[in-house]
Amino acid sequence: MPHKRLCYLTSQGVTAYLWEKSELKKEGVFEMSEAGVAEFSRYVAGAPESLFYVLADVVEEDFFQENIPYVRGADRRALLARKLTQRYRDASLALPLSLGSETHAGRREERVLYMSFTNTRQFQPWLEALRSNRARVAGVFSVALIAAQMGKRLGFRGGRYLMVSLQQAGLRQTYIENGRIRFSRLGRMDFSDPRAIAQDYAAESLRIQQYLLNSRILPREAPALDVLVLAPHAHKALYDAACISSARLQFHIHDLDKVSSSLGFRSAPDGTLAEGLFLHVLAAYPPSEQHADSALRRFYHLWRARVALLSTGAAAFGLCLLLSVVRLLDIHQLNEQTRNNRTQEVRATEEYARLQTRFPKTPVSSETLRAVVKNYRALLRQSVSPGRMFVEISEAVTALPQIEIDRINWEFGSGAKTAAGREGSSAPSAQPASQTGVAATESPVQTVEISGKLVVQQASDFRAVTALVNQFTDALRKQPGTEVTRTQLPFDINAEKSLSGDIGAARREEVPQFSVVLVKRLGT
Amino acid sequence: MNVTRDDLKRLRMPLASAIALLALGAACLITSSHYLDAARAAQDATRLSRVAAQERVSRVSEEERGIREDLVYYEQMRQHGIIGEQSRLDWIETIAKIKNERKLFEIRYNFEAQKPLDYPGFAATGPAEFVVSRLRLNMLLLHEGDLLNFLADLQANIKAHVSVRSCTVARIAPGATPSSTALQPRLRTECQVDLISIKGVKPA
Repeated sequence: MPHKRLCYLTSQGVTAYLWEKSELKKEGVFEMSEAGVAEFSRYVAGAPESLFYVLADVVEEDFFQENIPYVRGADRRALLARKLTQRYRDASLALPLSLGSETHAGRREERVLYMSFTNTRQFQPWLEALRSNRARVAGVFSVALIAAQMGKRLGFRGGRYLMVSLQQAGLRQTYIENGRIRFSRLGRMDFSDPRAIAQDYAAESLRIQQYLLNSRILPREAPALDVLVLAPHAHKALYDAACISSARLQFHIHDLDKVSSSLGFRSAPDGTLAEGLFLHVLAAYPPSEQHADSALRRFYHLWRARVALLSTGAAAFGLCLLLSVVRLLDIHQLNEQTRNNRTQEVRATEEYARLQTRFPKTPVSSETLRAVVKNYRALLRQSVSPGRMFVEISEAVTALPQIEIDRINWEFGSGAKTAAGREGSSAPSAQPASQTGVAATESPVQTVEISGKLVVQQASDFRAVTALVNQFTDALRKQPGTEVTRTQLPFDINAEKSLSGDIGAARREEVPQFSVVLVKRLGT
Repeated sequence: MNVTRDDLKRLRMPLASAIALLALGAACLITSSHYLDAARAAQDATRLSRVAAQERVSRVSEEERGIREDLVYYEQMRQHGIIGEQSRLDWIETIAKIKNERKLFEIRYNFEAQKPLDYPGFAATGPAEFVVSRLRLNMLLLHEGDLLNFLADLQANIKAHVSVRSCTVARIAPGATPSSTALQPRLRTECQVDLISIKGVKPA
């Protein structure tokens, strides 16, 4: 953090202080002269990294309260800028201060207090010295602004009160309403007689109360005005005696040293009056409002931008670093788990190897043995002899001596190579589709095509021929798992085709032929 | 406050520093993410390996029982001569022996070239390979019992696994063969038989 340097500006000159750890160290007194300004310029040039706060304590101040239409944003800024230029010849140190809003005749208005140093010429040499040395000027502040800030710190947040203090510049009276500055004035003072000063405190307080009433800043029906008197420690008794409360004024006399201590102010150079406390409050709790324009504060803004950039970068880096550290911790935990897994795996592998010694000796590796045997068992499941089906056909034909079989075509497998095999492959399964699934359609089947002839009295006796073939197929169907997928009669009794024969003709030598296709699934 | 070119120049270094810090932070995040992913992957892999190893231990009794069962089948394969190179001379001699013992009529055979077995449901078995030689048989039979006996003898005696794929049995028309002898074949059969063996089995 850069050093804070405080410039207490009066009509006589500037007194520069270094504020460090709540202590004020006087670094120079510069008189209002060319030599003084030049000396001040050298002083500023010698502290390029410092932040400069200017506290002006001058007589030439103006406070004017006005209501403006309630507007916001750029319109408000433009309106206030116009108002300030209308009121002040040089508005470079003018400040509009919002006092809140109120409604008049149904129209919402904003109460604004215009504050400005009316004699800006006395500021120019000093501010130019700061500007030319590219000093980081945090702002130009009036004692009135700091008084309001100090009042808040002392617990005076609401109500109306008058703060009276004595600085090198003179006697400062600041009227504060609801924590906001409304009026302030600086009076010349003879520092030689402390008793006279104390009496002036009381007299000037009464006078300003009357002024505030007359100018309607203070309502007439208001109760006695609280007066916060900051009395030097050495002469507090004089102030207690001089400042007697009345129906118009209620004095609260505070020891300046005690107030300083309560606000954390540690020490000030000898001879410093209340300005030391105001400077401390300015450095420790700078108010957001101030009088300087952007041009004067340019290098302060640049410094803030630099700080903001670096802070943002550092914060982002810190956040990333923090997240990375969290991840590193996760990695550490995962690595621990990985190590544990490996250890347990090694133990399990050793245990398995120990148990494996009990296994019977195998002629080939256990993996090869397992794979070979698995395939061999599948092979056994897919191996079948035609004998069983031949026996079943034989049993069926034994009961029907009129049937003579000429040819049996037996085939086994899932692929169809013959016409019979194709019919077998496409034959509907006896099981429901949901149970058989793809595996069932892939399972090999036995397919048999039986071709033969019928030894009957009359080949044209279609009913007798049909009945004979049906008896034969019925006998085949009785065998478990056997399906008859096609029956080819010697004639076609389908109504969609022609059918011819002879009735009463002499017996012919024609022998009717037939064929039957059977399917039997493996395992049935 | 209006920002001038001079102001931007003055902010160049802090801006560069901020960007560098951001980049450094991002690099830290990316690097840590990379290592975290790698650590997760390693942890997952070792967890799976550990679980597999522990399950192997828990299944050791089952595995031992499986090996004993497999050995029974293996011994069965060995006794049937399925394991080892195919010997066609042995096969021909076996067929001839069956023909003589069963007093069968003429048998014509044809061995197709050996090829890898491609029955459905077969898995790779590493160096040990199931191979098949297809045997085409043409036989004259007195009755169908001759065929069934022949196939049964073939399965029992030949040094391979026998898988009958198709058989066609047809009646021979009377007078189709010369009647020089009293006993004439009445049936003609054509069969396709797969002779399956396992080659490339090396001792453990």
